[in-house]
Amino acid sequence: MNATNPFDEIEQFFGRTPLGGDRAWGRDLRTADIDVTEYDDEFVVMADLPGFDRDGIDVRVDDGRLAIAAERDAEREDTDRRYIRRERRHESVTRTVDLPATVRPEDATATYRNGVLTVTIPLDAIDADEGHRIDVN
Amino acid sequence: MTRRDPFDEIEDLLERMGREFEELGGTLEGTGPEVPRFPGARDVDVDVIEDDESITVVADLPGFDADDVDVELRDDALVIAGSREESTDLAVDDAADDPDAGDDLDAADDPDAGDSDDAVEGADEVRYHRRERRLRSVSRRVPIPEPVEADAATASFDAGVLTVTLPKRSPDDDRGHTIDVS
Repeated sequence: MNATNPFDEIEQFFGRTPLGGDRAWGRDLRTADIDVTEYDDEFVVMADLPGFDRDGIDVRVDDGRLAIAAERDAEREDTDRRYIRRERRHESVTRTVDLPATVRPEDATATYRNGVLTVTIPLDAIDADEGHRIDVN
Repeated sequence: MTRRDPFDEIEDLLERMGREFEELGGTLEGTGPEVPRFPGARDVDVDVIEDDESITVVADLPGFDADDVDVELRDDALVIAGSREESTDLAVDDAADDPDAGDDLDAADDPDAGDSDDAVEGADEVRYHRRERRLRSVSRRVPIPEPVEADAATASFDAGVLTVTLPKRSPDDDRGHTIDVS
């Protein structure tokens, strides 16, 4: 899961199914743009979720996956209001991220500021991945 | 009357082309108001809503501070800009855009490096699994279809969303001064 498949990125760029489904021209309309960064001791997920209330954002770790869901109240339908342009996402948004085996979800923290959700999950020491290390004296 | 700035016309043309592109895509897509997205074509997603009294522009600018957001009404368009301080937000991400910026980047630039490279323990090793968010400064020019009262415009910024309300100019103003008949 550490290696990035270059084709993933290409596919992401063009959209996996350019003329079908919710994914239109590279961006799924019901998902959020995320950055996923792994540091030595923590795993950080940042998600663009503009225009939500804190209460409307649900973050959970389940079965080695981080699930982010954001909901907002349905917009009032008003016949006096006419959309000249409508590009922003209005739907609820969900996104899941696979987590490394070494995460400690019980110590995770999440903040929401300026429309960006940041989830930080500590990682156990990397030794766990690499077998036992024996110091040479 | 006065000659128009040729650059305005070019901008208008681009805007019009963009719109037609969107409409064409929208037809192909058949998904109504949802606009197809061309990668890199648009920095800022906006809604423009019209009612009897005003035109409201709503723009997604996640990750910006209110201070970093600039709004200007220029002729018949609203120009929205968000400027990002390179050092804030994610210093690491900014650094990664600059290939010369430091040695912790090798891991970031080469996705395989993290696996093969048993880097010195405790070194700042950073691996990007996904990088979809836009981290640079952004701007967008939104044409405003009707005359508005620039002086009475209001703007607010909350949870990464900018809302600008532009009251429409009443038709009388266009026709010059009205004189009350007593």
